[in-house]
Amino acid sequence: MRLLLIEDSPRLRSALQKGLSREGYAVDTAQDGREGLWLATENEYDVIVLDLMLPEIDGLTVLGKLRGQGKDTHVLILSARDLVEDRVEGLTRGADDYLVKPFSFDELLARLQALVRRSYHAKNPHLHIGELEVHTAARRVTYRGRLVPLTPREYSLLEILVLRVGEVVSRRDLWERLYEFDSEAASNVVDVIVYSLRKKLDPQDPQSVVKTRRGLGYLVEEAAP
Amino acid sequence: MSSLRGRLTAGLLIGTGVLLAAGGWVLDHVLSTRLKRDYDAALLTRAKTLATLTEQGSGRVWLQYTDEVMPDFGLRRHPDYFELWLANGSVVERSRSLGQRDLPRSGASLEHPRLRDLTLPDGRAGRCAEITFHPLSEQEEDHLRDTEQPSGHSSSANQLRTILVVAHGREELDAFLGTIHLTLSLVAFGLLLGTAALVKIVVGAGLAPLNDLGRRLETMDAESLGETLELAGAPAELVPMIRHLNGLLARLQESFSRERAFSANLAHELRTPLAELRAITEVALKWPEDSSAWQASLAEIRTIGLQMETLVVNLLALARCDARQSTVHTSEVVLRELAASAWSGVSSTAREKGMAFRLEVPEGLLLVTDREKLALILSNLFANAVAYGSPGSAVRCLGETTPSGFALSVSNSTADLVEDDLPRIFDRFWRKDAARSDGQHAGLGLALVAALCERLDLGKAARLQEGCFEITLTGAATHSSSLH
Repeated sequence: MRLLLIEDSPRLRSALQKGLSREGYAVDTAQDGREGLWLATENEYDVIVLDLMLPEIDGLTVLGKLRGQGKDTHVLILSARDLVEDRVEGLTRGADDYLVKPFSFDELLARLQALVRRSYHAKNPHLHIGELEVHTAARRVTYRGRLVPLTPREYSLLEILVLRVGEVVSRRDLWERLYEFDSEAASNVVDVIVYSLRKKLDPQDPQSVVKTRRGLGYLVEEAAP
Repeated sequence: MSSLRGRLTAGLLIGTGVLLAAGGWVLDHVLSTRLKRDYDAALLTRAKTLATLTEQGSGRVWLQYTDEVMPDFGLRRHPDYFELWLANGSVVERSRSLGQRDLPRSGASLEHPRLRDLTLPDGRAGRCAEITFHPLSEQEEDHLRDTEQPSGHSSSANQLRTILVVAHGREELDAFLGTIHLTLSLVAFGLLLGTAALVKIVVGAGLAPLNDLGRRLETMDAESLGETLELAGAPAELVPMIRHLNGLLARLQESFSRERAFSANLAHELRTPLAELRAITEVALKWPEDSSAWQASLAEIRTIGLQMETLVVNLLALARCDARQSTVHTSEVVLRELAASAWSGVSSTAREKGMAFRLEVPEGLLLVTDREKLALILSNLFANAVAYGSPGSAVRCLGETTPSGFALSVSNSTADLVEDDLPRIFDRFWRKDAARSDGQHAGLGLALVAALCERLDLGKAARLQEGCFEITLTGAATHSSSLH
């Protein structure tokens, strides 16, 4: 999943980027409103984490401009302003969630996961596809009743495919959801992750969960009724 | 609770009532007096008429009177009365209505007839005229008839003196006076009622602008302080009040805005480092196996702790200044030495920015003030100048004597500030950068300078001229910060 973090505090930005990356998110960061607006306009993100008091362009203006451009990316406001009026204004201007500083990192993760699920119209944090179970809240995967230990990238890739079940997702799309804007990861890294994921899910039948559509991408098929 | 409307209504009604009562009484008195005078005049005329009918001759007196001439004296119901006496008290004539009864006498003189109230023989209230006169003789009467001039040779010594009392019932007069009293009372009552209605309308209309103002103020709250009260169309009496209220509302709005900004800024200054601390520690705790990340996290936590310590120390210093808890310990201070010492705290940062220091304070300039607080003021002024001064420029510290004491100014070049920033430059948490992105500064330095100046009775002023920002402190020689 790919996030954009627009936050002017370098320390907070760095800590959150580090933590979220380790959780498997691809995190782009911006230190002011102008840069954040440009990144949000140029790229597709699953969620944008937006501070309100920003240099250059304030957070609410960034939000207003994004919505004005028709961008419906989910936005989570992260702000020190804790008044009800501030929260109401943020939500009425188009934000999807509001978190007051200081906050728990786990709460931020939970809210981000909820917003990601909402992006794919999945309300239940437990996703079942045949014998595959994905617990998005705990970021845990079981297959045929066996817990599958995955790296954050492998989990994220599987989560994308499961959330878009039945849909072929291109390698390019997967890469953009897994890696940051300025990442130097090679273009075939997605194939490497898929290979590793298949081996962990079922070494005997690698294509049992993640199927390949040659020339198009990968998909997880819906379970037979 | 008394109201202006109630007071005005009561006052106007009582006033009008008193005026109406006084006017009614005067009118009643004038009318009554006039009517009684006319009544008495008519009664007296009647008596004189009877007197002219009285004659004397040959030592006796008689009255040329018949009931046909004056039928009122012979009526069965409500008759008039008269009685004529000689001076010796013998009765000459009585009206038929009197029968054998007498009318009372009171002894009127020849010159002055007497008029008075009495109870008539038939029990009615009445009024009588009593005159004393000398009846004319037949010769005098003939002469008077011929010449219409009284004869000059009559001698009163030889004439008989007679007394005549004529009485008339006063029921008509009393009834008429009663009607006047009643009419006047009814008119007064009606006028009072009319006045009450008029007063209600007039007072209501007159007080309407005041009521409107009250209602407008009632609906105002913290959210509508930016609105102003309408001056156009307001009565002249309310204009100064409305102007004053508008001024107060504007100041209140400004205070509210500053209070909100203060709260928001304080929240930001405290919540942001707390959020940083929490995020750094929680991320570090989530992946405890990464020792290099732990080291970096601990270093960041220490930096944040130091910044928060500075913030808390500044806030406490401000709170102590506000509460006047910090004691002022005065001693002789060599200003040049103190300024040089304060600069040493920021000199390394200034060097990094390529900034020079120009100390232009005379060697012999001594102040009697609190050394520690003045040092804190200078440190903050220099830190501010270095932090926000243009790289490569100079910070100038100028001290001089003035006719009223001394002046100390610290100036630096700046490209960010504008004239509109100056009124807020000493506000707590005020930062030119509304986003407050720079975690190094909280916007308390100059606020602390202002509070300390107030504590030391020093004047302060900020000005901006041709890209140069200057803060000047002034002190009087006679105060605690005195000049030697």
